[in-house]
Amino acid sequence: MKSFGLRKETVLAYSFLIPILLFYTIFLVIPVVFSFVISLTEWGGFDLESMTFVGLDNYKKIFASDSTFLDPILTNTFVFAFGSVALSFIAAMMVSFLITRLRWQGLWRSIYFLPAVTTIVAIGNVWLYIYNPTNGILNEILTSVGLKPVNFLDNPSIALWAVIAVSGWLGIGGAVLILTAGLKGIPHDYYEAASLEGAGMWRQYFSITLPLLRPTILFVLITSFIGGLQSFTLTLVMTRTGGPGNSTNVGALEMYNQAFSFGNWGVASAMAFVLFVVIFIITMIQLIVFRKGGVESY
Amino acid sequence: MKLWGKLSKATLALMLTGAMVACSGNNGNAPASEGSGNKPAEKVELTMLTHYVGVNETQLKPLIEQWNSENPDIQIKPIGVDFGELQKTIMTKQSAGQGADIMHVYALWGGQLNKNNVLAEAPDHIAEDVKANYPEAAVKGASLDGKVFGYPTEVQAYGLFYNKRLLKEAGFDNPPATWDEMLSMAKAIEKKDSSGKVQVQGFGFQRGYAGLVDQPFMAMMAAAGSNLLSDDLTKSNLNTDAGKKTLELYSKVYGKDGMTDISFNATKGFGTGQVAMTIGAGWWAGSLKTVMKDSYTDVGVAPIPSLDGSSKGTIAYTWAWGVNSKSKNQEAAWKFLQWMNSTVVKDDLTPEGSFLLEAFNTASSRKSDLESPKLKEHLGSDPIIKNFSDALTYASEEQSPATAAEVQDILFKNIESMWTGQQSLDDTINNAHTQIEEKLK
Repeated sequence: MKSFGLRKETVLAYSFLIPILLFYTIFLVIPVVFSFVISLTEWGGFDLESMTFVGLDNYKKIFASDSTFLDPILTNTFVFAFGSVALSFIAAMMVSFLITRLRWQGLWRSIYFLPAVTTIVAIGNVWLYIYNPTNGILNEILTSVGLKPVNFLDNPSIALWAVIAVSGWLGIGGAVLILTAGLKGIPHDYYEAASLEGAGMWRQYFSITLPLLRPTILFVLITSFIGGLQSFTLTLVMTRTGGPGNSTNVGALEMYNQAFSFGNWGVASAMAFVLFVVIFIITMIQLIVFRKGGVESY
Repeated sequence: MKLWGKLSKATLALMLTGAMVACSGNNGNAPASEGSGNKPAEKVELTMLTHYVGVNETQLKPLIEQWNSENPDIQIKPIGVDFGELQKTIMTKQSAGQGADIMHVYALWGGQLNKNNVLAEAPDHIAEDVKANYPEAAVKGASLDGKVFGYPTEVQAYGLFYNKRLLKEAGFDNPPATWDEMLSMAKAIEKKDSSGKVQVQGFGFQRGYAGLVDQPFMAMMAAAGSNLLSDDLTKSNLNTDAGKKTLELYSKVYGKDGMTDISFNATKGFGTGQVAMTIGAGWWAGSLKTVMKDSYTDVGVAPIPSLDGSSKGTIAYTWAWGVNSKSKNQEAAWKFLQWMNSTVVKDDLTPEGSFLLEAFNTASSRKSDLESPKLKEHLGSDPIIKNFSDALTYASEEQSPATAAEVQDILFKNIESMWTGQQSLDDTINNAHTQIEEKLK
């Protein structure tokens, strides 16, 4: 009777799971498998019957010596992800720490979170005006103090950093929201005990806050890195083609152009799988580093 | 227990049914039109995918309504998609078996569409009509592998836009005829403030995306005597004298050896009367008219300057109406397109000719339209439209190999890299030439 009851419960559990399993199968598993199949073919995107199997040719193409995928595109993608995560994370750590010491914390969190709920297209366009070399506010400030105007998005040496700055600024709100939640989860008793023992603010921060915030930090870093490596819209809005030349071109933008502009769906899918492997490796490294540092909950 | 058992089974059955329904679909590349089964349909509705949205869609509507009221058996349903999304929409609809019966396509996509067998070949009577009634650049633009695939519509040549007031203020009564004149006039007109910011730009190329940079480049190269690619579309001509000289000219406008600031927006600047000369297509005159209002009288258009000042050359890009090779109602689609493009319905103009004039202030390239009193009057009173219409008689077509978009992307990125100091002129010539040839293999 007992085993019969358990079997029924199992059936019931699976029946409840079926909708979400079907959802994942249709919208995740099938597309991923299909993408992998496409990466082994030459396909123009118009007619499934015209798909031709080419084996690993697309992978060979993107790793060929004259390919721009590894350098500068994948290099740019790394610089973009690391740069924007570093900027947003450091800023968010400072802001969230300060917010927890202020009144109206909800208000401050909302203010910092505003860019995250604004469409990236709007943000990109606002920053295009700010960076405008002839009448943008940044250049107005520079010229008013006697400096020469800067071509933020037309100078290949700084164009990528100009986009990274916007991406970093954009990421602060989301990171602040999660980090402040993590900070509020640290029991106040620890700080009281440390104060009684004579620990100052910095000692408390490095000996209590940071260690207990590690799981939250790990979550913020992993999700931000993945987001940074997959970033596409901001570059599309701010430099349209990843220019000048390829100086701001990133992996996701190149995939989009390969597929939708050039009709090279096989090459685009191969790039997507390479990026998937890269993201997977980086995420694993982050997990290992944090586990060695004592974070066990992920 | 029984109730739970039944519930579990019912849920499972429902989910499986749902999954089967979700997984099934129109995967047989069936046409979009109604009445597309085996039985001959009495009435068909043909979908027509265009990039005419907003005001243009409204201007096209009366013509479609006229056809629909006169032809109850063949109803046309236009679907407007923004230009930036049109190619992607054709791609996704076609792969899902939902492609429109009639498509308005940009000739640059022709090679790609041909490779993927998207467009049907035009019937003989349509092909003959096109060959007999349109200029060579338009016929070539609406052809793939030498076979006509549809009716040319917007055939736009490139010319030199100049601001008469700025030229006059600098002491020039006429636009330049040669490249050397153009550069020396531009240097004389250019004005900068104390911080180095450009106040008035003598000559500027428009920038932003591949087409905006490459099409003027190809027009300049045509004026220098060569197309970008060989006639059989298998070789790059960038290493020819015309190619090298055109890239050299480009290196003298922006970049290390350039005479003006690359960050100054020539497109906006021309509209605000701050740019004296630039290269643009005919349709741009309509936009400038709206933006510049009274100042539009300052705008003049001249043929693209050439190396010697006597030869003429430019390019023209083409849009064309084509029919989906998968449509089961191709005959009906061609019947409609023939009416749209060759039947005189109003003011001695074809519906397409009438639409182009009303919507874009552009002259149709069809001979019968050009003979109509209304269009003749328009051409006589508007020297800008006349200039672009005349240019079609000597323009080369924008070449469209299967990898046209990639070829243009290579050229664009190399030019931008040269302009922003990432590579020298010689490297630009070599890199662009080699990379384009690689793509043409």
